[in-house]
Amino acid sequence: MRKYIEASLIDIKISFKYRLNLFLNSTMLILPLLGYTFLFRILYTSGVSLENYSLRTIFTYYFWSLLAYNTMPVYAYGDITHNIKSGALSYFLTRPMNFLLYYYSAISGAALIWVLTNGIVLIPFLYFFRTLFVVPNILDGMIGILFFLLGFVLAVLSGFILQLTSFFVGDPYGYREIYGWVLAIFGGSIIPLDLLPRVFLHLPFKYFYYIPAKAFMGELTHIPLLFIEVVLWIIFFWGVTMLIWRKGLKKYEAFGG
Amino acid sequence: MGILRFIFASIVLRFKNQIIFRGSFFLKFLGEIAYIVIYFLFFQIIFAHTESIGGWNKGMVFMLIGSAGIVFSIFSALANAGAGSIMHLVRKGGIELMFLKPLPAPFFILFRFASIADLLGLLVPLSIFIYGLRLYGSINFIPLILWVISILISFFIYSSLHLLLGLLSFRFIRISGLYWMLGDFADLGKYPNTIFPLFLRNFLLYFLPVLMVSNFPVLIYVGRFHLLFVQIMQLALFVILLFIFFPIARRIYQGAGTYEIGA
Repeated sequence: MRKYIEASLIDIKISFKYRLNLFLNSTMLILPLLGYTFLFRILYTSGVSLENYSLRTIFTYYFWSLLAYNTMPVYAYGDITHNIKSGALSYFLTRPMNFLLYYYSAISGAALIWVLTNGIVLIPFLYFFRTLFVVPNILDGMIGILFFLLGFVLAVLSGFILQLTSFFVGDPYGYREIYGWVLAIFGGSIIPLDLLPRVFLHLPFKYFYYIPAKAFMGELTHIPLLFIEVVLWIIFFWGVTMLIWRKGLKKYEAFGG
Repeated sequence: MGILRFIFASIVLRFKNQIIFRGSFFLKFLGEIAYIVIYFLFFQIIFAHTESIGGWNKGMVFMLIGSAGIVFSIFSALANAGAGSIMHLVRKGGIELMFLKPLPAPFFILFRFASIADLLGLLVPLSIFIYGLRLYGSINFIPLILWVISILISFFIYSSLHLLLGLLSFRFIRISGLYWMLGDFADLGKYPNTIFPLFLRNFLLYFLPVLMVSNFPVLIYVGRFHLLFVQIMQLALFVILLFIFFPIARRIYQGAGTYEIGA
């Protein structure tokens, strides 16, 4: 277990090595949020409303969903592909170490730093827009954290599936971008899923951004059912990951020394 | 003339390289147009509830999404990879080779990865622009010509901005965070400038002109022709800044690494 904790710590240290980049990366959260805020502010002040959303709830929704969007590791780790393509995977296979668990630990360490840096950047932003933000109560906050963590596991597994396809196609770069956009729209980071056709609410991607956001807002119903559903999705994604991993290892070849 | 010949040769070489990996190219192409399609849907949902956004009617907003998509697609196809490569060239010591070419180094760097195949990505934003144009109601020849000119100037403004930013790598080496930030700012270009508070609007129009490159072509089309002059002035300013700062950056430069083939 210790080696996996070490992997997390190494990634935390790597993140801190490029501190400026780390903080600049948080603009991925602030700038889209600013765009949505000003867009909806002008719409709502001119009398427009979107279904059940008020200006405060739409702001709060985008706040949580973009925070999740900026933190969920849906691409897992690009190094996985690099290791498979370059043959460096052999180093992992010849050591008493689980390759996927190693990267899960590393991603968790990095994600912890992303949450912290985003949080630091968000404090002045939230203070400025404090009248628009709906603060969650303790219970909603805890349910939000629970679904956020479950979404995190699902996102990592989804990312693993993406990266492990490099066993078969060489480099997932070609469809990496389209994968990201599909998750953004199906996950609810661009448009709240309850404003889209209901079919979107039956896909697993809602657990990436939409469900955590709604949980923090205290707007989730049938919570035990959602919990069971996401756990089943995690088991399914884990099964697919294992299947690709095993098939991939059989296909894996490395040249050179 | 030499520059044009170089750009053409780069484009042909890159095209030959790309068609070897057709599947990957096609998927990448789909990925690049996906964001425009998604924002098209996003604004369709918004316009199901309203007639206008900050004084921009539906036709103008879709012309805006189309125009922004066109400018950023041209940039992505012709100059993005080149502009982004400056810091790698500095870090890996390959920038000296660029200085040795019988062409102005900034232009050589900017267009060295130009890809004509990626211009296919223009089809979708162009369709959205035409959709917006038809919603707007009138299609006039002269404003359309001015719109095309404005789009081209927007491309050069946005490219110059990337080059200016790239010059910082001569001093700070790793500036990828700044490029990400600029990309995030550019994402705001899909909104009408009138939604932003005055200070932020002016900042995004004239200092970091991501709103200028997306909004002005549409505003010029709808009759605010004087904005073309503003765009020309902005471009001239950026070119002058490049002429001033590029030699300074070159003097500051110290090899930060060892030359790596392919850097």
